Amino acid sequence: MMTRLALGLYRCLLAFYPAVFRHEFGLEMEAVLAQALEAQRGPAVARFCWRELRDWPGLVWRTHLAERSKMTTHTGSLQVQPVSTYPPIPAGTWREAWLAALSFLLIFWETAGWAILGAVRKPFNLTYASLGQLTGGILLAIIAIDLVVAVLGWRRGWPRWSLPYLGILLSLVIFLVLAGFGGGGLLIFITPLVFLFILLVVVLGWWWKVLRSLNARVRGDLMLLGLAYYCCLPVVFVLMMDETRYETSIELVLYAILALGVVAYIRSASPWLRAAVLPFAFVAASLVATFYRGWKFEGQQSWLVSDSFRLLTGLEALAIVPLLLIGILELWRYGSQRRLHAA
Amino acid sequence: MPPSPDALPLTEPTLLILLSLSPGPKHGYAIMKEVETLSDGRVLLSTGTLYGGLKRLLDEGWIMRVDDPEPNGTDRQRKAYILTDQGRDILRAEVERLRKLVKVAQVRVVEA
Repeated sequence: MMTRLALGLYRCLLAFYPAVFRHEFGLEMEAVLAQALEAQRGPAVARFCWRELRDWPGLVWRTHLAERSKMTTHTGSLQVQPVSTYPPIPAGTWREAWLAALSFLLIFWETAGWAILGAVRKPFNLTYASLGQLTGGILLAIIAIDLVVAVLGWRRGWPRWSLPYLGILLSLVIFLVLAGFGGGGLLIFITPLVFLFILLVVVLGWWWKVLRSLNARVRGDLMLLGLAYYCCLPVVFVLMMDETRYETSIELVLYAILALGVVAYIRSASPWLRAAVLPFAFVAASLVATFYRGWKFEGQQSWLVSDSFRLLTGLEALAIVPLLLIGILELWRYGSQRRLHAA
Repeated sequence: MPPSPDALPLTEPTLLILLSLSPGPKHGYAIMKEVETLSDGRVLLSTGTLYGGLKRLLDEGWIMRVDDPEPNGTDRQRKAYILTDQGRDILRAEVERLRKLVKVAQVRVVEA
């Protein structure tokens, strides 16, 4: 177990080496590490791991420098042929794009349920208690549908259309945990927690066979992590709009903007556009929400939000940070791979 | 072809890696252990240092990669490293340089 954990962590460290180096030696280095860990016991293992960690930053830096100088000088006759770990990702089909976008309409029914059932409450003699049960049932149905589509996605190797459903499902899990055990005040942390949860699920794929294909997919295209994470935003908007009691139709507009972002993301073949479109849709939806909600944050007193977050308030403001970081990281990776090909 | 004077002196890990390969081909872990033995436990290579060094030596053409002749019990073919003629020349030149250095040093120590 410890060896597998150490190997998993080691793979994370290897990810920081240049792609060419990783491709040429990554598997061998893993094998040597596994052999060394098996051969040693007790404090020797700790010393060995410490040595690996101690040398890692300097070696990564030097290896990157060496690769860069080789690319610019072209002097060696024994140049290693660069092999990309980032094959060009083709644009998805319209069918794939709309299938992914439909996930946003699904969450809409959580809010719409209240409005529709509220309207028919009197003719059908519904009490508020039964109304609550019915909308709870709608939420459970949404979770069930997300779960079914996520399982379908898993069976098919996590195609892009399935990731929004996975993202919404994981966000709902975190929401229910926070609302159930942590109280409303903790909901302000929903977006970083959702991000960490999705990251955890992806990382678990190194050890857990069920999630292995998801792990492999995300390692091939980091923006898929961003896509799954982006899909916590409908849950965030539900929370924000519920808090401020605005019209259901505005929520539909917000989900439509988010859905269009996903359609543009899947239909795009350009990594630059893919990295930009999700944060752009996010900001657009947040601005619409802010326009309707007003500039003033109207959350509970316990939701401590600083003045700087008033434009993109609270939950939304926290949400964009990981999304931007993933986009920047993926573009940096893409840029380095492209330079390698050019060299 | 004699080795370029720029190639010498070798760093200690590089010399030890070349020395470990002089009897025959070895895979990564065996090189790591051999370096530890040759240096009497003083030089302990991390995997990154080892493979950074091996890559440099491959780029220089002093070693080359071959399929490991020893079975490793897995499906995956393990790779081993072997000295090239150029690598062997470099190693000889470095050993000769060190021998001369030690000789001069011994004379001086005796004189002192």
